[in-house]
Amino acid sequence: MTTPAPAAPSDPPPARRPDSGDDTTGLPGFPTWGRVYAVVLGGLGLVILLLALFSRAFA
Amino acid sequence: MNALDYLVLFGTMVGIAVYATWRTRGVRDLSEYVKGDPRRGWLTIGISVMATQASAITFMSTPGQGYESGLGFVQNYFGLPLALVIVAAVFLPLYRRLDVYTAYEFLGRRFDAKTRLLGASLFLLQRGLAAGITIYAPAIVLSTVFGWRLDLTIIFSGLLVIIYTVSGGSDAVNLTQKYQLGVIFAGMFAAFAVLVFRLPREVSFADALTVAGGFNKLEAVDFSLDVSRRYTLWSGLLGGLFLSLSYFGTDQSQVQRYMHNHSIRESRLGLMFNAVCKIPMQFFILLLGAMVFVFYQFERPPVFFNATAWHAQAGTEAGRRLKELDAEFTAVHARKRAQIGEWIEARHAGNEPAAAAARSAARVSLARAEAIRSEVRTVLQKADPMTGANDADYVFITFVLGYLPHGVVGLLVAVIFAAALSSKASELNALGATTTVDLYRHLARRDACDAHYLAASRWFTALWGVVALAFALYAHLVENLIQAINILGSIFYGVMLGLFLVAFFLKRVGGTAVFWAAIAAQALVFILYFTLNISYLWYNLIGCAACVGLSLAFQALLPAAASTPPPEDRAP
Repeated sequence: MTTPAPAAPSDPPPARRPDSGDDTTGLPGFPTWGRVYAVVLGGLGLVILLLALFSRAFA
Repeated sequence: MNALDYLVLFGTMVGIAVYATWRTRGVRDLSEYVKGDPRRGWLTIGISVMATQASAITFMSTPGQGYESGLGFVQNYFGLPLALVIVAAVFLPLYRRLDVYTAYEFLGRRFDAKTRLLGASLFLLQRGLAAGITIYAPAIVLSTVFGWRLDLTIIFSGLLVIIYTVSGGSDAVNLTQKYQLGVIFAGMFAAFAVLVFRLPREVSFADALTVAGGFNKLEAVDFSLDVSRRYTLWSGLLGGLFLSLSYFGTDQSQVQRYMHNHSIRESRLGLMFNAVCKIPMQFFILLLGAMVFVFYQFERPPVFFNATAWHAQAGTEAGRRLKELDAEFTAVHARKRAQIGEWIEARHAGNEPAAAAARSAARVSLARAEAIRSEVRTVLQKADPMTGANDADYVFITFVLGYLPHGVVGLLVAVIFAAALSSKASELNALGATTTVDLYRHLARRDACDAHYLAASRWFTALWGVVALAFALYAHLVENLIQAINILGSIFYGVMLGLFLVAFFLKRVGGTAVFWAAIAAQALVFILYFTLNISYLWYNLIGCAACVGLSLAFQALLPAAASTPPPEDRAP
């Protein structure tokens, strides 16, 4: 299999490739990426809280 | 290791090589070699990104970090989830829109040729040195298992990594990494179970945690505002954010893994997979190290975990002194074990004053044991300056070899070694690709065919392997491998991130301004690193802020003509 030679810096930018279905996450209960990010960051806060409590319990 | 272990070890290694070769037959062009198969799913990408970052060093050095310093290192990763959200939401769509081979190609399009070369050079310098540190990890495994000299195992491991990488390509890396990661984690859970099971009958898991906490090994979060403290909540959140943002957003070894995936959705899910899993994973591995520490409070540990270095001095003048220290260490350990027993007994009886007194006595004994270990290190280094100052990286492999069941030991050694090969392969691929695309194709041969660039990429990959190998021969000088990687990254990553942030968000800043700003910021970071006593994580923030701030200042000061990039390199 061969592909065209990589574009040199002076070449025009390659065409934008289609990203099918990128707006939806495909995760049940998480229809938007914003909600996924919020859960990840909320999880971070929770993990730090649990680690702080763990540290205190065995200090 | 016995015959069963060796059978499993070599069978696994051969099996991985055959499988990877079979699955990657027919890879012929630069695009596929550099980018890998674009049809990979989000789980493959997620595990692949995590496995690249979680190399053999993570599994060998992190438990050693937990053994020596406790859980505090986990704070290093507190900024990572936020960084991955930013990469997924902001960086990823930008890279995919450009469809570039390397992240630094984007700098060329946005600014000019010299800024692209600067970005690529910073990456090559930093990642090339880091590759040397990480090649050291599998060499430790071989040296410990076979008792061979470390410099020989470094050369052997390095050559194996080069052959594996140049012959396979990044797809082979991805294909086998997820299985290796699975087996390594199974092995780590097994090690954890063995640790808990082999504790004395009167010591429960809760007691083990109490002992670890009593020796300050379970301080996972430090709220201190002291900037000289290496790991605090604040250095982890802020410095760690910039470190991770730079690593995942600008380091070609990571960027190449997600920017060419079939869909942006899968790449985002892969990044979010890591955002969720990374801290719990690091916590578990550090806790494993802390539990190994507790285990060795009841089982007599080696006074120095690098057994090869220890045995090399047997029969010498230094060996006699080491024997004396070993005898003293045995006595101190026995006393400490008795004191810990009294501490646990008093705790069970609800006698808090007696428990506190026994704990204090045990801490004094631990301090004496550490002083003996320190003297052992001094004696060994005096006898042979090439002996590593720190044996923390040998702690976990020593435990695995000594206490895990036969067969499991062979399997775990095989996959730790294979994981080292895999993560090195992806790192060297990134170095080879960047050298080919950003330096060779850009400066030397602009119009060659794709087959030529593929061959060049493989040659540059091999060349970087040799550079990494040479540097690995000096990696014994570092304090702890996992920390050394992060320190090295922190020195360069802040400026690199600054370059990309200016490219993404400050459209009025031109190539000349950002180029000189990046050089000045990098010089500032070097000066501060050697003069200030602050946690290395802060250099990510300082380097980035200096690069962005100086870019704005230089842009305002430079004449308009000087700050405009040449027409052929202008952003689209």
